Amino acid sequence: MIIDEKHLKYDGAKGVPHSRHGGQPPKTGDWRTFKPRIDKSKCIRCMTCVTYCPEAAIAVGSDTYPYVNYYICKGCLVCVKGCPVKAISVSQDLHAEHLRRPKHD
Amino acid sequence: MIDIMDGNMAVSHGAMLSRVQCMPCFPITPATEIIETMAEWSRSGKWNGQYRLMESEHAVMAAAIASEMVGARTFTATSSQGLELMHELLPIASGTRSPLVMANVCRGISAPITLWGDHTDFLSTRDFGWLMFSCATNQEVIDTVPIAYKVSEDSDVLLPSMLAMDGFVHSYTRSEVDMPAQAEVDRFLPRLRLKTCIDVDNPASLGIPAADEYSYFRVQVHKAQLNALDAIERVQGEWERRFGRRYGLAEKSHMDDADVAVVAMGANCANIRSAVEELRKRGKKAGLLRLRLIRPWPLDYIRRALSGASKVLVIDQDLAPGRGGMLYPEVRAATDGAVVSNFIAGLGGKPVRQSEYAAMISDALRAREPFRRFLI
Amino acid sequence: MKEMHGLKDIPKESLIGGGTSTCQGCGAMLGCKLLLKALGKRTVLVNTSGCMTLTALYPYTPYKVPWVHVAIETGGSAATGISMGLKALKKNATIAVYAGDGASYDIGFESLSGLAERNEDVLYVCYNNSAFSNTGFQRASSSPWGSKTSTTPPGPRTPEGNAFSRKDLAKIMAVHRIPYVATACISHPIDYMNKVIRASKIRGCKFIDLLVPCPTGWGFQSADTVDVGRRMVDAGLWPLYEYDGKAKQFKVSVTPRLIPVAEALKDQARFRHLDAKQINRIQTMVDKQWQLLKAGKYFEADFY
Repeated sequence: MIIDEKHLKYDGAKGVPHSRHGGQPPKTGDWRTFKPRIDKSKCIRCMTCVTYCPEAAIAVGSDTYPYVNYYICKGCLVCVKGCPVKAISVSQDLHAEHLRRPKHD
Repeated sequence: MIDIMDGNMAVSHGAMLSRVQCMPCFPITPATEIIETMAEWSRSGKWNGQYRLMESEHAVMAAAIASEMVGARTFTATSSQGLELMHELLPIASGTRSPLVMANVCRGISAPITLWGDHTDFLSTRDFGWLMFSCATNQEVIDTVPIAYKVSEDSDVLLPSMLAMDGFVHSYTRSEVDMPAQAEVDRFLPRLRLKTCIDVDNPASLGIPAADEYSYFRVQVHKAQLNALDAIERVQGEWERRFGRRYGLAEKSHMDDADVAVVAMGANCANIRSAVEELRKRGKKAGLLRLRLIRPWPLDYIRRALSGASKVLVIDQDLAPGRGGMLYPEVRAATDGAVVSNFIAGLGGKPVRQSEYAAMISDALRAREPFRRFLI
Repeated sequence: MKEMHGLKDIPKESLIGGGTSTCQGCGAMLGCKLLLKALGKRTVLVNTSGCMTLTALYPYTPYKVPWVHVAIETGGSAATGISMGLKALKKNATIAVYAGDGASYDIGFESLSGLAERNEDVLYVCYNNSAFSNTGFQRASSSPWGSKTSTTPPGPRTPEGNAFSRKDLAKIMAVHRIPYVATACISHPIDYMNKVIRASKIRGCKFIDLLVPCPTGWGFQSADTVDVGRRMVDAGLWPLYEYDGKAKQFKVSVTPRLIPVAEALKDQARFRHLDAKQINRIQTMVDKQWQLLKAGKYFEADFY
């Protein structure tokens, strides 16, 4: 956008560079090529995955079990490695399909 | 209340009168006495602000920006090499819209290292988004501190201010100063209330990186500078009403019918004015335009002031090697068809005789082509 | 905040969200999350330019607490400014700096030293990935001997890669006579968080050197961040300790099993160029270091 100096608008506090927390974060879930899945039946609620997730993407649900926020989960798989009862499995992330070029007939 | 004090004391009083809340400090000649005075006043209880002795001028500016971000009115003072060390942080102060005020006691920059005054240090910061005021008397210094705060903290501005005075000539020379009354300054300058600041009850991330929006934020700084022109006129008008002293965007002496207009700034203007008056006695129509506001650059005002003169002499007490004086190109751009010459004199505090000024102004009056001369 | 005994004691709510530009498996992100959980909401977090800076990229910020960035070398000086400002306005908050090792050991050393010598009431946590990581993993004075970095590549003239032994910043901070100095690692979250809690209850300057494994720089799979950290501690390469500045008392927090150094180094690409002789040199360094540490001789020990 090209603006003439005569038409520059002053935005007051909005023009002070700052951010406040809130709203939708950038979708780092798009980074994944592997997806961790927590098997509730095996989970012992030890809180290891919740503790070690670097992104704070695993939160405790109202049922006291851990849940992965796939919007931000980057698929680093630290949780998979850390789970003492191997309750977290890894699958290839179907999201990668979206990145393939469409086939031409 | 009339008192006699030197420029450094005037700065300290100005800061006290402005009820500054934080002052990070580091000593450097010729500004050191400012921090010594504040230290004395802090110990004696005369001033109850937060005083910190920092490990370098860079640390001083970082602490000043951070304390201003909390919403506390912050002040500091430096000179020359200290100001150069702060360079990295100066655009951060304006970019984060932190309305702090700093006094710069002008001193020539190294190398060679010197102690005495010139304006290269002050003017070398003109690209960093700070409001810049140049003072010519100790009275102007003590008045400009609260004026600068009021302009800086204006919600249409929110930019840091730097006020300059000359090392040794102002800082260590005592002169008469009419000290403004604290109660009146309190009415003039209310408490600082920042909307966007560090507050655990209203958290924000400040000093954040920006990618595509970087241009937008930098241009907002420019717009705030343009707003400052109006804010300065407003604020200085109020100062005149309350205290009876009038400051403009620049100061004119004998400019109305001047054939040769001299443009200069700082303490040497007193001497230059004498040279102008000497020439007037000899029938030569000289005039002096003493610059007070460097940023925002009051282009329209300067253009109008210089419009009547066919010859202009810009006296720079500073040097941008490879170009000439720093004020020269900006003043030249404000003229239309005049022959604009440049005299670079007073570097490193080198004394300039009134006769030397008079000779240069005379030559500028006669000049058909612009010249650039140096006092070595 | 009370000290923790197990993972279930850790507060559930995170004061830092996701959606940031840090690498997958970033140890520094984990360190920040745990730091804020230990300190709580009334914390002002000071950042210095590095891996964590671009987490808050306009218009988004993951931080639910006030966050400030001034410049790379201003961790100590900006924290001082905030302390001044809060005192001037008679407001109360915990001030914590979360700065990288490059910003703390090198370019910001002056301002960190100033913070410590004035004993400002600030907790300074250095997230240490042992290099200038954000710019692509260049050697800093925190980089250990033998580490490959982009500015200390192994070659015929310097077969070890980084030929300098690292600066012992924690000890330098102890000599500043601040009340609390500690080392920690994200592989031992309870130990780390308890150190943060203990420190936050002390008035004065506190320093924690936090080892944060860096998958991108150190060269391992993102899933192994915690395991790599654990092995560094187990091999004795990163002693976990506390130094009580007032009592002048040194205490090892976690006694390592002292597994062979080669086991801890082998999974990190930054050490892959080391031959047996060079690894043995590191092993000898670590053995000597632990002999002295076990005898409580903190100041005499030369840390790897």
